[in-house]
Amino acid sequence: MSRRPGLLLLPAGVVVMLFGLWGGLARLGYTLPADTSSADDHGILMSLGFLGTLIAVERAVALRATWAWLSPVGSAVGSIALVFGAPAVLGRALLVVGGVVLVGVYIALHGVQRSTHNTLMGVAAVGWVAAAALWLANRDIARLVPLLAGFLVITIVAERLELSRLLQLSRRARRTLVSIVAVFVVGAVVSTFDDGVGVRICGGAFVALAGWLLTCDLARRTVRQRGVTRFMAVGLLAGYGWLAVGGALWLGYGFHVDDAVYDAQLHAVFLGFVMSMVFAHAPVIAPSVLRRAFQYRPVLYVPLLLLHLSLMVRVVGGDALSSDDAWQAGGITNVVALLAFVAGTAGSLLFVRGRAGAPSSGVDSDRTSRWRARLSTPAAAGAVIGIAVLVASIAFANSGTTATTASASAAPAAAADGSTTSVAISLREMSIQPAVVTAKPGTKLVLRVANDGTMRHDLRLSNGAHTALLKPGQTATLDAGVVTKALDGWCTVPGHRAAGMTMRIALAAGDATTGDSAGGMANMSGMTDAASTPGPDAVSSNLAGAPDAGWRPVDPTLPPVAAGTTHNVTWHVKDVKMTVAPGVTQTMWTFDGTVPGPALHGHVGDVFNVTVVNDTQMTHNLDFHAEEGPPATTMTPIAPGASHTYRFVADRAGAWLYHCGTAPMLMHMGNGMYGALVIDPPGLSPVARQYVLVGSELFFGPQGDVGDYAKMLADKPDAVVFNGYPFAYQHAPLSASAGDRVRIWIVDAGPTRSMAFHVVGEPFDTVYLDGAYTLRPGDPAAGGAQTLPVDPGDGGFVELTFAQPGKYPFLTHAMADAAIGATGYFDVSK
Amino acid sequence: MVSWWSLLRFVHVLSAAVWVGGQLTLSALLLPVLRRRLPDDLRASLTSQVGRRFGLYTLAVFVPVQVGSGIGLAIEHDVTWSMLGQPGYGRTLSAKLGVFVVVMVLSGLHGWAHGTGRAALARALALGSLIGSCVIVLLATALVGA
Amino acid sequence: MDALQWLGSVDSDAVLDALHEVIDPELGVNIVDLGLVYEVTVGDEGDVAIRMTLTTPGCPLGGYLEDEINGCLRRFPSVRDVRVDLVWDPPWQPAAMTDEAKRQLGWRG
Repeated sequence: MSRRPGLLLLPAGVVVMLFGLWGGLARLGYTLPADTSSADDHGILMSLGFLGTLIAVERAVALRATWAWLSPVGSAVGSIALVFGAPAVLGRALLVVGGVVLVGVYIALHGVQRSTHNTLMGVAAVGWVAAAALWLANRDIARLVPLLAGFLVITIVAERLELSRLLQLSRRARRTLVSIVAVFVVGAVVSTFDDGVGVRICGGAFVALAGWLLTCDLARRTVRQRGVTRFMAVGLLAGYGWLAVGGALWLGYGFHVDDAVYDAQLHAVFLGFVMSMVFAHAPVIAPSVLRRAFQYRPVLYVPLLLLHLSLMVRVVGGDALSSDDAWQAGGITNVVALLAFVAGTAGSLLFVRGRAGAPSSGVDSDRTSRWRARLSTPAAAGAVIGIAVLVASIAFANSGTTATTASASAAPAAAADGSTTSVAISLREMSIQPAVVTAKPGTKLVLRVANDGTMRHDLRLSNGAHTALLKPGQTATLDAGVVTKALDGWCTVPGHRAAGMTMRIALAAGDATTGDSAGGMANMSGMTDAASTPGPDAVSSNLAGAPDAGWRPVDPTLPPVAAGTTHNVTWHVKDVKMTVAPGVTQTMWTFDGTVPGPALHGHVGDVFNVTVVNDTQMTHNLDFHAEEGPPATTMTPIAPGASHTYRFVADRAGAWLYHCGTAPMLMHMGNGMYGALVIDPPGLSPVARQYVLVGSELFFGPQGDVGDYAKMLADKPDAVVFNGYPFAYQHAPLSASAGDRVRIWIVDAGPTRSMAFHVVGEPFDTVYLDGAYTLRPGDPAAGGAQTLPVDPGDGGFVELTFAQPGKYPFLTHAMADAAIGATGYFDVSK
Repeated sequence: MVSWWSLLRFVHVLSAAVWVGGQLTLSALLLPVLRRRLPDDLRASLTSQVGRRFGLYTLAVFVPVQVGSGIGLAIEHDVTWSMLGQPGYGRTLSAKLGVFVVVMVLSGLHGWAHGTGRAALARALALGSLIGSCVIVLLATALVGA
Repeated sequence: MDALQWLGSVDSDAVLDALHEVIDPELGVNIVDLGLVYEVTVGDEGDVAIRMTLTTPGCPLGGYLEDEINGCLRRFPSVRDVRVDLVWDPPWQPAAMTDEAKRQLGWRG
């Protein structure tokens, strides 16, 4: 009984760790064929799914009771269920159960023999339960970090306290350790309602713990021993160092989320300290749980060294010095270190030098066992080399790919990114190979045409480019020009086209999931699909005409800041067929159903958690101009059907633009994927009304279809609008009362035109642009402003006071743009 | 259909299959049996003879064929030097080339280690080279699907 | 281990001597010097019984040490059976360690 569950659950824990690492690689910015949950759940998978299972298995072995195994079963099964997409409630509940059973195990052990260290580990297990329960209640993992760290760190510290009995330590020294742990527990509890203070208290406790461990722990003695004992001590001491570093980061920086500080805070503690402990203890845990001999070898230092070196690269180079390459290199080497650790541990369990007393029969098995003994170490070393090569090469091969470039480079024929692409075309009876060539818009395409048939053929493209009539075997080079829209090609010899000698040049639509260029292409307008031609672009007979009966303007009032400093919103990306001008219906790509998308409003320092669900057939992502961090990690692409939560802290005030950043960005923005994120600068004057207007251009494609990309490229909009509809606020004017101070936030989404926002009949006494006031009332220069000039991607606000009642038009003073929709008015009442 | 290019690909793949398959067969099937059944001296002289023959075949046949056919296929695929650094196809190909070089070095060192009596090192290098060759195959198949 | 022990029967002293080879990997000290071995009895049939404890009841190393003890003693051909009894009474105290163990763990005086 005592061995079998461990044999199953320990590998199960390792499997969970592998999924956790997979998610970790995704979070490092590598685009993998990963489900998003292992990336989002990375923290819990590693700390509870892997390490929790490990600890629970160890305790179950110690207690020797069958029911105790429910704990690691709960954590392992729950984690695997989550990875494979089971309902979150189920997986998380199983994790809670695992934690509760573990607390029970400690209570049972308390009955066998009371000890401080057992009590401490029981307290630590409560941390598991608390974290899992709060996660079940949908709290963000980032806010559960002190509890998760507490579970792991206190368990480890309790173990060290127990071992310190073998040392000549004063009671006072022991009591000090317990007190520091108590401080940590206080910090963890505080963190459940005040993240900032809680994290700092925990950080201080970590620093104190590290200090105690570095001065009083048994490892200081055992490091002087030899072999496995010294190995364990080295791992422990290195870990204590990282505990000090991590503690200092927690104490100094407080609560951070999703930035370099957060990365360093987490991994200094969880990798540097906790994982180093795990590496160091493998020679003891593995044999006890698996009841199998463990052959220690010095080669086990390799994973330990890799772990610490790579963590230094990650934290110093990546987090402190902001080098993306160092961060990724460190991160992936962390993964390699963990894999090497698993391989090394497995090797040490499998390749064990034969015992002298083992039964032997005949010369053959003698030879076999001698050979096994001689080869076990080198075999392990060779395996480690091989696995390292495997991981490194795959990481490199897949590096740099995003959802969009992966699909563009998918067709070996057209691998360019704006340069010249050359494709081989073969003409034969009766077809053209390849029948479809995919290229990114903006690529210069050159076709190397060869007549591989037995009669004369040629190739003509729908943009007029053509080859001469080619004899069998003859070749020619055809310059297709810069690809901006789809082209058809065919052989002009009478009857050949009808017989099937046709081809298409299609545009890569940035859709990684279908990989079928024809399918992705059909979503983009202006691209002729051989199956159906959408027809000419829609035209509005009168842009300023009365809108349709069911039309409602986008509410221009700036929503107030929601309560609290953390704002959680959920948006659905959807394709919506909507009227964008009188007589014109277009399929707009929207954030949450409107163009522009919902306005977000917050204060400096607020945390935003924006969960985006992609209900369309195309990959999209979200770029918040206020956000910091490498786009590869912060602006995660969301595949159709998937969802992702973008988290960031708005530490800078401004009128920020957010938009979809998926290539071709011009298309995604031109088709409606933008909105405003308003972060109030401190000390705003009180105003009677606040409005937010997002300026943008519209490019009508065929009726009911998406916008015309060629028009977008040529900067020829059909309408320039505030909040998505031409002359919207002429049909539904903005209101104010005489004497009101009004603030108007303007964000120009473009995609290409600047705006010069002007209110006819009232100058501005306050202008805020690019994060600073350029004009304030009471300025000794006594100036007034006429326009707020916003460039595409920029934003700011103006304030004015309407002295008298009346109608005050507002527009962009770029008159050609005002004439095609960028005009509205204020209706100021008495 | 079977064309000249597909024949070139055939030669490339067949040669690789023989080399990797040969290594696997020797390591996994032949060597353990030899170790169990033969006295050390006989086994040693057999394996070193087989090993040397394998090394000769590698140098004289395998490497030229792989490199030659590989270059040909690259030309047919419009691969340029600058493309090798680009994400996707380019980097997968350069990873494959890099691992190929690594594996050749490891195999060469394996031969040297055996020759100078460093049996344990030779074993480690052999296993590393074997896994590395499987990685090459993995990357090659990734190229086809890319 | 001298020739007589190899050829003849073992006694509890020889067993205790051999147990010096079983080391707690975490500490680098053998179980005898740690004071974990309470009693060793050797029967006429070559069956060895060892009564020992662990530093703490929650210690998962119990099974591992049992296996190590087994492996260590089985190379005596006259040892037929090895039985390890883990007891918790009297509970282990650090004072049970030998001076050698204490020296290794940095005890002064």
